[in-house]
Amino acid sequence: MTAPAARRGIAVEQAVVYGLLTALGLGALVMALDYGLFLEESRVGPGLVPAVVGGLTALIAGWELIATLRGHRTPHDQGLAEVVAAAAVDAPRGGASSQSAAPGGPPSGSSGSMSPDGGPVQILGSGPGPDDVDIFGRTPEDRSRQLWTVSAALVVAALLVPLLGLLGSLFVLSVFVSAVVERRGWVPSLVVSFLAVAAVYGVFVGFLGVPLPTGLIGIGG
Amino acid sequence: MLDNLVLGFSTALSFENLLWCFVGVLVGTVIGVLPGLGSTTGVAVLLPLTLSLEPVTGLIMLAGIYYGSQYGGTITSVLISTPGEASSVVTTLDGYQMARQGRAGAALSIAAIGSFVAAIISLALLVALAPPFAEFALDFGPPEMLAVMVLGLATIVSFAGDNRRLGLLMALVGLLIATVGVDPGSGTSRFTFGSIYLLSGIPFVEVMIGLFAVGEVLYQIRQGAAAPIRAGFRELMISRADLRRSGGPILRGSFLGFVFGILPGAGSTLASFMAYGIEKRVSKRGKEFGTGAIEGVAAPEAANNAAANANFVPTLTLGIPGGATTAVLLGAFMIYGIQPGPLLFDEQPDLVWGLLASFFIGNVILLFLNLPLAPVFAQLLRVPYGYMYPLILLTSLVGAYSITNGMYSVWVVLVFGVIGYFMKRLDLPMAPLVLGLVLGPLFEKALVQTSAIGDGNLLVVFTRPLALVVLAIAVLQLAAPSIMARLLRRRATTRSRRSDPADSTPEGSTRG
Repeated sequence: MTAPAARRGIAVEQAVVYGLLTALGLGALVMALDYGLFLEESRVGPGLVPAVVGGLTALIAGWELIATLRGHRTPHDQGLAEVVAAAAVDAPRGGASSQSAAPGGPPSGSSGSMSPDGGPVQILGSGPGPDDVDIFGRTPEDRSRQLWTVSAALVVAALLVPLLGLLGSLFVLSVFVSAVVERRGWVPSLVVSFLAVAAVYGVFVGFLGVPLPTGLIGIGG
Repeated sequence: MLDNLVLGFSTALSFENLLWCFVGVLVGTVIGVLPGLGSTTGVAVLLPLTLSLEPVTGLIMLAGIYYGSQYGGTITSVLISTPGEASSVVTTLDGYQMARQGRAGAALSIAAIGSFVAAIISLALLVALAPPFAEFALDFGPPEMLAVMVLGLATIVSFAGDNRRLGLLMALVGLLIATVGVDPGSGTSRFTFGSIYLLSGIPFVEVMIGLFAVGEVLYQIRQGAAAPIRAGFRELMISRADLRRSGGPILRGSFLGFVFGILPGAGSTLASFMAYGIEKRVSKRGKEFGTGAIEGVAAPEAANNAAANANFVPTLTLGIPGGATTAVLLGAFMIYGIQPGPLLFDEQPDLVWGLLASFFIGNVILLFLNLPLAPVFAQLLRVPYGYMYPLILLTSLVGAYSITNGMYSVWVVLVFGVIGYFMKRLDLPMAPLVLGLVLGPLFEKALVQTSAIGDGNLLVVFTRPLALVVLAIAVLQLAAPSIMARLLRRRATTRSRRSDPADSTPEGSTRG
């Protein structure tokens, strides 16, 4: 399904995430020991829950980290829902047809696929697979760049709030995302963004009376 | 009880509550239809909008979004085999086949009718069972609450994700995030690193908006755009024969869904799968399942709606949410300053009964909206995601700001947006994290109180019979998948061996 390169990419991300979680758990455990596990008369103290939870987090995340580093892919078919689903949906109609039944499609999440005619049907607007070109001819690399552009734009927009005000910087964000990232025309982008910001203004300021920050140049008080 | 219902309807039928109930179910349907938006996202993003309303009105609207999106999710399952919600996955099996045979109208009608009947049945059960259950729960002390919370976490870990170890990990991360701030027992500040913002803990609704709205948007950007969808309808009418065939499946689905929905942590997804599987076995037309049998649409749709309603039993009576969306709703209760639990029925009868009565009204509205208007809603499928997501981002960020009137909330949303993206990308289940986060403070409080009861000895939990039973169920649930998988595997192997000895390849025994 996925190309080896993409799979390796995911494995690296997995290793990083599990590594961070292990560190987080250990950090919590160490700090929690300082808070005190038990109070007098061995009552539960402020450190007990964070210490136990942190320790267990570190344990499981560390386990997953080692498994990932050793190239072991986590099986995703262990949940009760999957077992039941496999039994319910692929329940053999009798005889050897059970042999041809596919393993039960996972009901949750984005990785699942299930279709009536055996072909892959992706769940929840997943569109093309992670390695395919989408309908706008964007490669996975393009989409990855878009993702980072939008993420960075979100941070920049939040940083611009003291200057432009919340609605001002969100207007800039919306124009930037529509015109630059999604490559729509400048005029439709400006119009759509203006309408969107006006709607948000109407609801939050007009209707709910939320005082939004106006910034130095005073937009959208 | 009749007094309560009268009180409830008099609350729910006020002009304001009716209006917001209508807005809620309409928006919910739209959210269910739109690709990339589910009920959890919808409730999280729109929660800030309700903050200026009366609590009961706000909750009526948010709950309307929740069950309205169950109707909306079905539309996409049937028309394009793309479920808007996990609980509608199984509807794609027969619903989409019916649509391909030009019977999309019949499939959508029976889904709407089935959902409606299930809603009414499950609401009647909810109304009948919740008060005595709340009464019963009044006797719950901290040890029992502790056990129920463990059960809730165990259930969500074993049902929500497709890998129990990762589910457990995420539940732990949720609990860990919940420990930030002032400790409920002694007042010590933990993991605050000298920040005054962290003293009051990591805000719950902002985390939800980040995980479910911003994280989802980022994930969809990475996934790329799918082809615009064209949906066609030939006939909208459902025949009398269809209705007759669907009666039994709808009733069975409703009761099954209710039973599953009542479990803390188990969701409507499992209920819909079970209903489909059972219907396939008991139906005379079991062999037609998967080729466009109307029973295969009616049963799971009834089940997931009944389960969505039944989810409110643990949420309202114990304060322990049944799934991710009810967890966000629980967050809404807390923002309004209401603590769900057994006392809620005594202390705020107008709120509880008004909310329950609004479910009846909302489902009636949904039936009338969905029967004639399903094709209109289906047109929403043509909206490209590129137009939608800037608006989602805008609403999320302004909504987050409006919760506390501060930029801190916006930053929390952004941070958890990135976290949510990676969780989706790496298939880490979100529901356990959400439940861990919600239950964290309650769990710790119950733990502290339990240790006070037992004079420092937590084993006092095991001296309480009720707590013991609940804990046993929790353990059973965590162990069940392995045991069931083994049993099913053994059965499948023996069956295939019996039917065709030559064909019993190892394939059959490795599956499951």
